[in-house]
Amino acid sequence: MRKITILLAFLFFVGANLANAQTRTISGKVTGSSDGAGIPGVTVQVQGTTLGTVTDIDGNYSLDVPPDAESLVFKYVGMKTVVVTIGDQKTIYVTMETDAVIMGEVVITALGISREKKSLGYSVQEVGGAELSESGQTNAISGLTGKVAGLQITSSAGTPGASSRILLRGASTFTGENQPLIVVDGVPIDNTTTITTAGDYPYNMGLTGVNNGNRALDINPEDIESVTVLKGPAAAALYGVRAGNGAIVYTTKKGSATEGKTIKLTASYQFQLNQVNKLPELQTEYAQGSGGVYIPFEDNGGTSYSWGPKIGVDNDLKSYDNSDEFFENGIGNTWNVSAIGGNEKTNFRASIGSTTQDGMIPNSKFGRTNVRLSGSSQVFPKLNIGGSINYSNTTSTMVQNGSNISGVMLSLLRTPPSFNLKGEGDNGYMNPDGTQRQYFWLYDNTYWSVYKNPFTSEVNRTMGNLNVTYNALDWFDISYRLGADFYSDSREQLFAIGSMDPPSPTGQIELNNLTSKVLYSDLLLTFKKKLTETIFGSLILGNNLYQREFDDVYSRGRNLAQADFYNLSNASELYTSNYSETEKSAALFFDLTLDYKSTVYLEVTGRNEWASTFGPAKDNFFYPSATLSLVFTELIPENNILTFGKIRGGYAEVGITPPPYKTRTYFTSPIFTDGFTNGLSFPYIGQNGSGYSDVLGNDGLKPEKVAGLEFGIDLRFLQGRINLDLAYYNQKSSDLLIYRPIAPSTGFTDYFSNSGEMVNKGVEIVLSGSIIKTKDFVWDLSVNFAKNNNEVLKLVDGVDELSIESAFVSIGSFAIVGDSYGAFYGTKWKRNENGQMLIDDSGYPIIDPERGFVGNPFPDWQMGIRNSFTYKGITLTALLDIRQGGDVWGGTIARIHRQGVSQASAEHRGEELIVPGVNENTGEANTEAISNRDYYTYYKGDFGATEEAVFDGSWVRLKEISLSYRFDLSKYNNLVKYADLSVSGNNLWLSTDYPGVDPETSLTGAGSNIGGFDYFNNPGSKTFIFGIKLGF
Amino acid sequence: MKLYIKLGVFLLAISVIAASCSKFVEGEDISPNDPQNASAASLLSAAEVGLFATYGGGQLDRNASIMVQHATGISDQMIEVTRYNILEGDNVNEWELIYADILINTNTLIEKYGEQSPHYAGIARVIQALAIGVATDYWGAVPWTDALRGLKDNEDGFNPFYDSQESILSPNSNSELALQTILDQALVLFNASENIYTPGADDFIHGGDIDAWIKTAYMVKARYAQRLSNRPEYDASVVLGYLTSANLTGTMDDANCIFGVAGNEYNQWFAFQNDRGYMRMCETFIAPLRENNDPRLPFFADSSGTNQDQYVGTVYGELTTGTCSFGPYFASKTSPIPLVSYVEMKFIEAEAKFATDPGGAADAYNEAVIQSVEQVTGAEIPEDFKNEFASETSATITHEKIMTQKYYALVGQIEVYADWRRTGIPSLTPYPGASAIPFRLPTVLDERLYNTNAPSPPVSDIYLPLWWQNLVTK
Repeated sequence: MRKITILLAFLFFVGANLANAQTRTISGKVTGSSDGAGIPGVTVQVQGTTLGTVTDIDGNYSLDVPPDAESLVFKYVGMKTVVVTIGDQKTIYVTMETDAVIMGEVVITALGISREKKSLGYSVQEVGGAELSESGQTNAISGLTGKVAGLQITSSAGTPGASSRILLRGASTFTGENQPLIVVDGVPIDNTTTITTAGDYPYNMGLTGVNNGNRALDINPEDIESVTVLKGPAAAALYGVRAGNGAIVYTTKKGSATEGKTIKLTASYQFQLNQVNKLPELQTEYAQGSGGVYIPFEDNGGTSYSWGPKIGVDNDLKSYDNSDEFFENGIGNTWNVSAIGGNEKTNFRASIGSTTQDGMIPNSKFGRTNVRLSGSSQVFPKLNIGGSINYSNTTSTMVQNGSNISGVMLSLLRTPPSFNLKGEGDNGYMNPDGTQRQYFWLYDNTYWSVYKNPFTSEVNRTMGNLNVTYNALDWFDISYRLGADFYSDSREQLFAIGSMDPPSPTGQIELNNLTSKVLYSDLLLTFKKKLTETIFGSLILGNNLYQREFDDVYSRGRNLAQADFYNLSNASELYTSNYSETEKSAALFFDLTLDYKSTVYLEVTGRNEWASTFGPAKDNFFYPSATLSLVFTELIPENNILTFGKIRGGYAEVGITPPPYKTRTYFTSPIFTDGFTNGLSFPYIGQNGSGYSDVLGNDGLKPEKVAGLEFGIDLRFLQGRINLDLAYYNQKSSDLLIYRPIAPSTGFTDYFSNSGEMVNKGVEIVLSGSIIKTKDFVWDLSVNFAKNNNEVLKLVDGVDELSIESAFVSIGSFAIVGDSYGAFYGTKWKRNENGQMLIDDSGYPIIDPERGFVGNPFPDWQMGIRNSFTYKGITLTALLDIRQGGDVWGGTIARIHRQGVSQASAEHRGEELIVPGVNENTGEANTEAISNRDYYTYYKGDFGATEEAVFDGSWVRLKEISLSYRFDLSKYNNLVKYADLSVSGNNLWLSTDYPGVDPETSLTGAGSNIGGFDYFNNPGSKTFIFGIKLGF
Repeated sequence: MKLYIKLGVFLLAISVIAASCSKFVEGEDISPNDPQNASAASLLSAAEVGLFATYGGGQLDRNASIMVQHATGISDQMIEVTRYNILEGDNVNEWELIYADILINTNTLIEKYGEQSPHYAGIARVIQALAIGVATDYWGAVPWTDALRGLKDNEDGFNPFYDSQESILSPNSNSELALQTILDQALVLFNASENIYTPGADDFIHGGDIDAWIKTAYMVKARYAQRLSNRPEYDASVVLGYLTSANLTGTMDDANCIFGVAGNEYNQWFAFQNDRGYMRMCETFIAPLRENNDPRLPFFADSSGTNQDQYVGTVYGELTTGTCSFGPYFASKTSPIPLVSYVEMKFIEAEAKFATDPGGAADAYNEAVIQSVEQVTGAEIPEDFKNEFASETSATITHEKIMTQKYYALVGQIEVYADWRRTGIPSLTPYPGASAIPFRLPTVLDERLYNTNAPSPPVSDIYLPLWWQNLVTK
């Protein structure tokens, strides 16, 4: 940083000296070849010197040149450099043409402002809309997987409508939102993942229930023109607190002038086939039972274990592959039609899209319909009005997963192979009297769960924005934007009479209505001015207002009178609860950019933010950022090797406001539970109950602070044939809010206060280029790599370990000082000083009474490799996604070992096995064998230490592969101009050592800060896609 | 000058805008979801249900039943309790329930409403006596006079010191919050005639019947006075005085944990058996009842999970299933669990009279057994059983008999564990390999970690006797 500052001072010094040696003046104007308009900010330089100026707002310039000056060089990013011999001319007019090499290097940054990528002092990365829709993902978030360095995306499952969680450069807060802000056309939109939770449910509903979607799901990827990922706090300083983790900026497709035609139409269709890509290996040899004895349901409700006799040996049992039978081919159909039209002044785009999917799990469905209209018009010469409106209807039918006796995977994977889960005929999962056929009295039959206990959700959402820009003066614009994002989500969860999940098997209906209203407004005053001969400046002054209202109303009826009739009137036990939240923030900000001869760029921002969540004590705070970049290729002789080079550095701070309603201590309706039962709660025998919340409010809350340093280098070789972008960052979060545990004898268990510290350090590398580039054949390669190291530095004095969200007794997700945030915390084996496991005299391993760190769910590094081959219009693209490290807690496999249904548990049936380790008393290698069942119960199974169930979740996967060809049909007819045909696949190949479902999985989904849990999660999927697109 | 004016206008504009930004966000800091105040009725209801969660089949209650071998663990965490592998993290929930729910909220009830509605304050004090009583019975020294200051004093109140068991339970204690003292306060408060708010249906235990609460207060006083039977401070006449003042008439005077039919109102013995099933009735308890032909057995144990409807328990420490589950007397959905009961008082009376008035002791004992049988079975006591077990005289009554029958009668109640620790009756065999049965719980993890005034080193020896056991001088 210091070196750059010295260099900058030197440049100014040199510039000033040379400017004094003037002899004659040359003036003129620089215009663009396409529209003839003046181009502001073009660098005009005397060749071979650093003497020069930049053009003003109209493209005019005036430069004093020494007598020996021979020619002038005109440079502007995105334009081909022009060199003009001066000769005797006093006025030189120049027309500049766009340069294909660095074309398209204008990126959309914060607040929808277009910026030259060259001038940015921070890291951004773009993904084209085509890459999103090609991925075949219905979720506009998932389609980014593997394409952006430093962006970690985790789909919670392969079931349609499941959420995808995003992390950019690691987690920056303990208890707050760690996902980046999602912005569409300059307006932040809601991307929450809300889990239906009854007000009287005492545990974390994320560990059970369904995979609710993240609301970016409502975006149609076909409407997206491009995506810009703004990494780190510097990139997003202008969006304020909610962009403390970066921002993903979606820009939608717009209309444009359609020459000669009134409208241009495109239509496309995609067919998808989804299949389960990976399941844990299950045994098919041994029957339900215990100790070799067959114990079916008929025998007192049966046993859930499969430690029974060998199937077909001295018995007439048959073996069934229930999980293979259960999953289906998921079929998806997606239609999109769009029309654009307009002239120079007014344009529009209208689109309609529909996608329907039947899931791999029977009776699971997903559907989405989007209707979108956008347009803009130059109403008066200086006044532009634009806007868009998008309506979406998203419906899903989902199934339970996780720690849930009505969960699909729990009852499916535990099914003994001797039990025919599906039964005979269409409704074979039911008995003739309509009750379910169970293998064990406590678990639901999986088919019963999917057909009788569905969860449905219907989201109706309208997102719109209106923007007005008034170009008041040459050097002054004023623009205003209003955005709105309203949705409602009506959910219903049914449990038929006889289902085991509600406290009594008497049926249950749950209704849950969510409504969210977000209003956003920003006002920008933009000033652009040539400040001196060599410095061009622009200043944005802005205000923005944000308001979010959220309501969640939950109703439940239990004890149903009539079967299969779902209305609350049918229930004799009713309960209801609701939750509302309103958040408001207001901000004043500025963004000052100085451009010195298109060589040195300095950007300084500042933002003062007021937020409703602080309470009366303090309601506002200020945070700044500054970045500096130097295009050093401007200072070295032009050459054919290094075409462009830039180094950049920046420092930024972002404050994060506390969550709502934490400044006071409230009364709540208490839930008394000891973790074993659902406990006692209110209303209780018709009475309400109130007590102080366990969390002590704090009226002195401060904002959390994320301060980051970032350095980067951007190099283009051989006229853009090879490009390299490197970034290093070091972001420290401090004053992190934590639920500081306090002694319960104070009357409270936690005190919400600012005291944590955490650091994220990392590198990101993006290397891209054309390996082969001939007339007919092009091979493009793009590699992105990212490595992030997260370390918790401090929690609060005297506390080194803190749970970040309630989880299981056997495993928690913790912040541990010295380890990564989100670390797995659980039981470990007792070991000697050499790390060898200690075994007791009977041959059993010993669990250490002290729990601790057992794994880190975050990867060591991630890499995406994209190869694209084009031969005469045929394009073959393949994207490899590589993840190194990233532990997954395989709660599923540990449990199915104990159940005796895992393949491994069948391999040495009847034998005795030796747990590797040393005897705790003698220190000699253990020789005491234990039964195969005990081995898979107390060692490999979930009665063993949690650490045994933590696996490396590394993978290499063929994330995407596609083959496409464009048929040019304009020769044959006037109607259809072209047809694009494509065949592609998603996740077709996966290599991993993880023994469960696809390790890209998350029990708790995108709405939770817990990562890496797999406890009977729904499986991942692989997808085959066939697509056709017609251009009219 | 002109520049100054421009600058002045600019600054003025900024400050006006800033003020309106501040105005925009104002007033949204108060939660619409949770109130900042609570009614006396809702505070009382919450405190009572907190007490039910503690005394009515919660972990402390289950722990007691395993220690005295009424029940035994056959699965998961309950095996660990059965093996006396009781760790500092195991009872954090129960500790939180006592302090961060029952005690803080009864304090709040007293502070907010006590002055104008003394009857509420009186009930709150009785609840506090039951809560701090069970805490000291399990942990010995516990925070009390310096506790519950988190809200008032924030960081200054985060490290409450511990009160000795002696200062909580001794009749000679100078603590203004000694257990007998706060019960005396309650009795004074119950006498007040001016009450703005009066308890009613919000009082699950007595439905707002203050006379019943006066009886309950005396019953708790009698229990904790009898608790000192091994101590020099013990005075049987004080116990009998409290019982006289209690003026008991029968089992209708019981103060019970009340449960309901909805899923969130279940008796916690039932809920545990239903949701977890990690325990079975213990053969130590079942065998003598079976041999005695005790008519309460089908109510104390549920044989439906056994092979031939046999009343057998799991041998303590073994993992056998197919044995009896918790019985319907204390473990059906709505079975009430006594906090203090007429039957218990009659046993206490018998014990207090035993040394000086064996005839009176025998009468009290006979009444206790008869009432227990009739209350549990809902039928008249069978003649045979009465002749054998409820017809003691001054010549035949023994302390052993009193405590043994009390051990049966109080199944499902925490109190049996205190009785066993105090008297050692009946004699129990510890878990194989263990030398003794634990007497207490270790210092709670969250206290060790976050309270600088918690015992240092923490009490980790669960075999360390309590002050009232007075085993050293015995």
